[in-house]
Amino acid sequence: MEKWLDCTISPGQFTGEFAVQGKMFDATEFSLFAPKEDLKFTGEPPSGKPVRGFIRVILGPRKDNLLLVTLPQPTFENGRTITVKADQIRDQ
Amino acid sequence: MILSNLEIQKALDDGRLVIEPEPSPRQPELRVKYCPYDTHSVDLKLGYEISIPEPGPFDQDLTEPGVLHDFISKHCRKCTLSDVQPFRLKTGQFILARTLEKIGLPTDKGRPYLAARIEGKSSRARCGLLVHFTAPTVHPGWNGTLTLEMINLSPTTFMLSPEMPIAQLIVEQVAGEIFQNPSQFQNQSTPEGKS
Repeated sequence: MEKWLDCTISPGQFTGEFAVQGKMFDATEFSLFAPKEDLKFTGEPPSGKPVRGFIRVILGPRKDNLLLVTLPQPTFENGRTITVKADQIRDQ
Repeated sequence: MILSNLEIQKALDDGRLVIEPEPSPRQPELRVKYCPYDTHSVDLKLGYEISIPEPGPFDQDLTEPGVLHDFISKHCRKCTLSDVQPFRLKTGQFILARTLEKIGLPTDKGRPYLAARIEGKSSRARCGLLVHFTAPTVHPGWNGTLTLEMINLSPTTFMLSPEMPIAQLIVEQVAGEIFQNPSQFQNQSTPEGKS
């Protein structure tokens, strides 16, 4: 099921690409580059000033307050799948 | 044909592919921050030993018969990484490293035989770090660690820590029968190729 995970967004290295940063369930940071179509945010983020937004994720198994989600691209730190808290997820 | 992640795991179970220590977990899990499997590859980690070629007043004739690893070893400085002692790979610097994992592609299990290719990871490539070049092939019958020919093409120095995910292994099926012609680096356990 497709949902949206909160994150911060800043300009990427190419047109239509953005640098995304967010937090996992234990506040460990993750980061990745993602195309605009996988992101929701208002206004263009100026360089060096991230804006709040959301990144498209696919939901996996849930246990208590924790969810396994798959990101549209691999993170720099881990892979495409991360654990987040359920309250970090939005329907749209 | 390239093996999917599930086929890679099946090959590990069958013994047609050996990766020691075996990458884990096999599936993404809640609370587990890292799963080394992508859809058709498995990540390999950086080992603890690095070999740094030293400049010297000599020429090496690459067509001259002889034992290449002796020459490479003689003219390299060795460095052992630790959690508190990462290696600083400077701009333009070339080093040899090796994977933490030992890779085996035994041929005594019968067909289909497996071959593999070591490839970089996009996250490292984006930064300007080459982790191997020109020699990605792992032949059927291979047994040993994989040597990484690393170079920093970026203007920034990179910190290399042991056991960081550094490369990925793509596993393929070989069509047909084979005959053996073992590599000079078979059973290698050092970055220069010594066993």
